[in-house]
Amino acid sequence: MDETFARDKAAARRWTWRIPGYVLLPFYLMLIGLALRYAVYVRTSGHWGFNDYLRALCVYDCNAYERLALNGYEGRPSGFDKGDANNWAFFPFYSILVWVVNRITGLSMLVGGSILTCLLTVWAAILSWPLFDNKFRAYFLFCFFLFLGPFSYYFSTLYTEALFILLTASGFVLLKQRDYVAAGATGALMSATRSTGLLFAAAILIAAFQNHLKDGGTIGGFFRTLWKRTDLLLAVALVPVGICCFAIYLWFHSGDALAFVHIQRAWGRAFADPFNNLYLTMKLQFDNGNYSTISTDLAFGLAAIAGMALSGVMAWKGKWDWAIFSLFGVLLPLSTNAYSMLRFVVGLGPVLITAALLLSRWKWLFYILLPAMLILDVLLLPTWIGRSYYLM
Amino acid sequence: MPPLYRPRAWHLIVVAFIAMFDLVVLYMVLFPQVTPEYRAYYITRSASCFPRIISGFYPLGEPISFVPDRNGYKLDTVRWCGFMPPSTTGIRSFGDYGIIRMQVPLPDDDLLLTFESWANTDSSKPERDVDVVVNGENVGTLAFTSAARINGKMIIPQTIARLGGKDSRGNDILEIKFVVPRTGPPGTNSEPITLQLRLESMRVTPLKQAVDAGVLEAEDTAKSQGADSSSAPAKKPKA
Repeated sequence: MDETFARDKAAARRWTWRIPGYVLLPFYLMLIGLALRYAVYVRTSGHWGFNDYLRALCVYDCNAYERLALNGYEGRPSGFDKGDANNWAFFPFYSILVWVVNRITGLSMLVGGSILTCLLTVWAAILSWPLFDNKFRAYFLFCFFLFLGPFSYYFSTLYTEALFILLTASGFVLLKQRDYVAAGATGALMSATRSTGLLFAAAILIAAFQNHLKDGGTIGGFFRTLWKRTDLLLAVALVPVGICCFAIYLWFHSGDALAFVHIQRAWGRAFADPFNNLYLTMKLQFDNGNYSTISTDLAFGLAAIAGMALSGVMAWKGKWDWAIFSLFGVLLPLSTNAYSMLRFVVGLGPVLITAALLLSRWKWLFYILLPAMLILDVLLLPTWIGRSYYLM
Repeated sequence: MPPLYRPRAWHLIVVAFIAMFDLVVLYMVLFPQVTPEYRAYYITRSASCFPRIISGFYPLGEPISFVPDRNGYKLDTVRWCGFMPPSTTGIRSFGDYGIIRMQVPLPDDDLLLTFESWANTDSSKPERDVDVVVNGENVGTLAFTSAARINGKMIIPQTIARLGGKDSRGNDILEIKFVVPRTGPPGTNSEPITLQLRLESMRVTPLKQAVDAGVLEAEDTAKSQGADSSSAPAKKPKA
């Protein structure tokens, strides 16, 4: 008896030192992806400097996040040709983390920020494992997309996608565990990272409703007891705290609490009907007589449609919390303009997870997608470094 | 049967604090403390450009070049609002107007405004009129019927030149606004599509000095206080 007990204990101890595959996988893929892209950079540019490689990857908004971490928020708008832009549009949480890494390690914002992004992506992948319901193939595809897919550079340089996916995955795992207050606190960090983080408040309510039904409750019962659910009240109240802190800061800094919205004029963004924006974007190249290539506008439009279609799949699968969060995560930026829709769609965790779950159902498709994504990663890297609007 | 939920007092206490915090934010959202030009451009969107901070310095009578590598005064001190930075095509307007703002001590004399301009139009398109407004008063209108350059030559009467008031250093303020027409409906960014005026050079000269230098013939002075063009027709001032 004692011997059996000792053996079990030893086995348990051995298990504690065994790192599960879903933890190791993103680490390995991250390292492979890093090495691959560096090799492509060296091959195409002839430069060996690793810092130069990181600098080359840091295009568009990456520079804005780096400058934000370095110098904080700017004063009177004077950027761009029209002299009306500055960095108030960029939410602070990610750059604060980069600044903290810089303070602790002494690494430059670029190097520290790039390492941070890679590790945040690894963490995001690991945390999202419970959302895959033990479907390892789908999880593999998701991790492969993050580290070796056509948009891997978002997850290896100074962009907020990695942090936002990490927070989104954490939030939905917490909702699955019915820990609404912790999910609300995560939502607060999401709204300090991106404006679409605010949408998590709706996801909390929907998840609570769905969990209530799963537990055998009724629709009427949920609404009758809702007034007693102080945990839900607190969770929903917590979500906007992040964006509110940013608004207060901006009020003291610029006099305008909504400066992060108003400054969007410099990027040609104004609220309008998202479906009309989508229609205008989709038809633009055909109006100009271009029937042979896919313009950036059409690519952005297609990305928005893919995001909405995958939100539909989520709803069909009964994951309404994911669906509403993702659908409005697409519609909100689309209502201001279709620019950067590729990035906004790729930055939505539930969209990527649902796509991975869907596409990994067929083994043959899974095996076709892996090399296809790898080839696109290699081919698109020079395009990204060359500052293509296409991938922005 | 769903688990029975027991409300927590500390949840409500935290929610009360967050509600107070939200009220403070709501006050800040409703009452922005911003300059009128910020409000007009970013909040109400009634202005089509956000002014730059400039000194307004300009050596009166000197030609200003808005094209790099050409002769003339080159410091970017008078491009105030609605014009993009100097380039090989001059300074290009965006939005409904572009404004040049000078802060100079004015002589007791009328002024002669001359400039080289062209626009992104051609002869297949309808005539595009650009109003030249100084200190709120129209001094002339340019009619663009093709992509050809229009050399504007307009007299700014002393009374209009002094309408701009004075700055804190006692200099007179001269705001020269080029009001361009809208040429298309707004796109996905809600901004109307407008004619793009390109200014390549400009000069403001006291009239007497201009006549002495032969820039303006004596009969021109007597003839009109309007637009004159060496390349394309221009209309008489509206006001």
